[in-house]
Amino acid sequence: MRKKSKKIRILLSKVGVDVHDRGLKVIAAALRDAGMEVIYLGASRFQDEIVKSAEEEDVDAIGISSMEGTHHVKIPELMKELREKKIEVPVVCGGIIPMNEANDLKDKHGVYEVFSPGSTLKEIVECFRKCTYS
Amino acid sequence: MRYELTISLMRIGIISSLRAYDGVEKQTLPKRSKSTEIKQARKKWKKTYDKWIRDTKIKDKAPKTTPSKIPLKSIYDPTDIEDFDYLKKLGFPGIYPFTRGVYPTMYRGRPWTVRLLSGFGTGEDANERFKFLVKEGETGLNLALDSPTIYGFDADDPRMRGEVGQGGASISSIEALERIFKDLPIGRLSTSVVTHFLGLPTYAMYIAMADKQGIPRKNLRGTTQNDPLWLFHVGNPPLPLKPSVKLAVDLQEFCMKHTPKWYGINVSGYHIREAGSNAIQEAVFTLADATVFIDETLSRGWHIDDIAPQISFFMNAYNNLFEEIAKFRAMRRVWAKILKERYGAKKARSLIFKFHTQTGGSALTAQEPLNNIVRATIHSLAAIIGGTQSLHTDSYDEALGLPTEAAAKLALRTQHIIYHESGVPNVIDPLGGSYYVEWLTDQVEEEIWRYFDRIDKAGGMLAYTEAGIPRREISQTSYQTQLAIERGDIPIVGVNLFKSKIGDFEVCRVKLEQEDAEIDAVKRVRKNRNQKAVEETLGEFRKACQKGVNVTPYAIKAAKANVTNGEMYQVFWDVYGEWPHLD
Repeated sequence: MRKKSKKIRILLSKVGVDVHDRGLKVIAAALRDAGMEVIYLGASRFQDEIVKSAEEEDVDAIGISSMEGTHHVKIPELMKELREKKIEVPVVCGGIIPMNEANDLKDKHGVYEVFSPGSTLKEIVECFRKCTYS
Repeated sequence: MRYELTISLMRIGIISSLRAYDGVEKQTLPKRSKSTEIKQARKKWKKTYDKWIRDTKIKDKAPKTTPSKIPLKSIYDPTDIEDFDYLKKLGFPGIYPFTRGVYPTMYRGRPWTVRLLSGFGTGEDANERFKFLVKEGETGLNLALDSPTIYGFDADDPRMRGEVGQGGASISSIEALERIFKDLPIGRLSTSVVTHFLGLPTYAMYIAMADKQGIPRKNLRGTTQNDPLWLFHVGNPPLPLKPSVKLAVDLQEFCMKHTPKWYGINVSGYHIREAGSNAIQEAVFTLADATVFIDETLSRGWHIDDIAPQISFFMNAYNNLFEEIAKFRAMRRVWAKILKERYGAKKARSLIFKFHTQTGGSALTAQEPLNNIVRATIHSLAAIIGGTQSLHTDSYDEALGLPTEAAAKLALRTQHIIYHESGVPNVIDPLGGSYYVEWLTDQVEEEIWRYFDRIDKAGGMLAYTEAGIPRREISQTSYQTQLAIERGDIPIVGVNLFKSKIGDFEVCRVKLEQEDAEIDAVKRVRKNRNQKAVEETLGEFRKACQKGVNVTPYAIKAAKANVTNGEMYQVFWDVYGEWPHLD
């Protein structure tokens, strides 16, 4: 059970060599402003780096951004590896992800939530708060 | 009748005020007495303006500043640019300080180069799109690379699954490049390669390909982006800072010697802007980055007049039409002054700020994507009125995925319509003399110099970059912009104004089967190449990297022996160190 004083720790990253991290940086700033601790891996990270970091940093949730249309391959692979390593923290995704593929990521691969363009920072921050609440 | 009279009187007014700016006979206008009169008239108008607002109870809702936070007035008149020295500030196109354009004829001589960024999927797909665009009137090729190629990974690296050919063409070896350029006249067309990071491996493959076709190197026309610095300001560079600059300049130096019509460094502000900077940050970091490459090249014993003409730029054209135009005009003036005053360049060719423009990708919205056609048109106008040398217009569907052929054709036609129908390119620097635009150009220039002073005081742009200051400042601006969008302070139609939900869409993406074809192609290359030649050339390449000599000739030899991009990058990582991970 989380003690109230402990800050929520969020890992933010992209998977693969996709460099478009403008949105992810903005989310990092918004989460920090909301009092959370952000472990920012940023652009161009491989899934093993993300998994390792999630393990070592004992994070409460993971945020993944995908802008190059590679989410249908990269995110299921990441989810699989997280499951294999028994890292059971919610994964929140965002980026250019069509609705049917977002549903697949949630229903078939266990992604907690998928945000599309036009989502507000408030909604995203709330989502992280909600999914890490215990 | 009365209407016509008013119009003709207005014309006389306009003509006489423009004549005042002719400035050849009278350099500083208007005169003091006239200026007092104008100020009085302005006060009178302001009273009417205020009264109008009071009486009609309307609110003046216009933003108080430009997006770069330059305070705005509601109108500009000659007193805003008092003591305006025409010849010093503007002069004529092709003549110092080049505010009005870098060439004497500008678009009256020839149009800007229509250069649409393309490349995705297999080499064959990229080739097909290139041929289509050339057939439809494109005048220069603009090749995008996929992320694995940019970051030094080959298509068959298992970690790259799902990313091969996705946002650009995959170029693992010369074999892939040859498929992309099959039957395209590379001796005649100019080719720009948007390498994002180092240009060395792909340039080496291009030269190797031209050598094989018997095209003299000196005839090759094109540009390799080869600007690693922006990735230290935004994004995640795969190599440490100093070796990155060294390798970029290696290529620049080789171009100066062997491919004089090929620009070896294309300094990029585009990505800085896309990552969320404002126009002034984009301008100043780009110009300052260019000084880093110049300083490094000078330290190798070159003369400034050999280096400067080889540098070109890659800029963004964004939403605020006038600030963007002022940015381009101010950058020309600042660059000319830097080269002349700081570096002592003598040749006119050394002083000119030549640039390619791409319309702002991050300004496009996923909501109501057809609106992006209008946005891209405004951005294109900014670039053209701003005097660009070549232009990529974004396709309206790029907020959702790769551009479809129909959308790419529409982007091409946007440029054709502006060029042939609008009359915009008929007169050079058509906004020159506008009180507002001249005032704004001055303001942008001042801001750039102010920033430059800070950079100089911090020990120059290399030190500034090492300290991570541009990186921090750009992220801050980006976050503030997003907060302002969410507050509604920056209106975006379809997003926070006339809100619209995103309809379901399909991502136009490369299929895994296309990726498999590229993977198979690299595997075939690895299997069929002469292993001895690979080992020898790669060994020599490694030695060159270790010795610190110019590695370009060794990269070309390796490219000819089918050494891959990933193998060259592995040498870089072994010799120069791994990803610095700046965040």
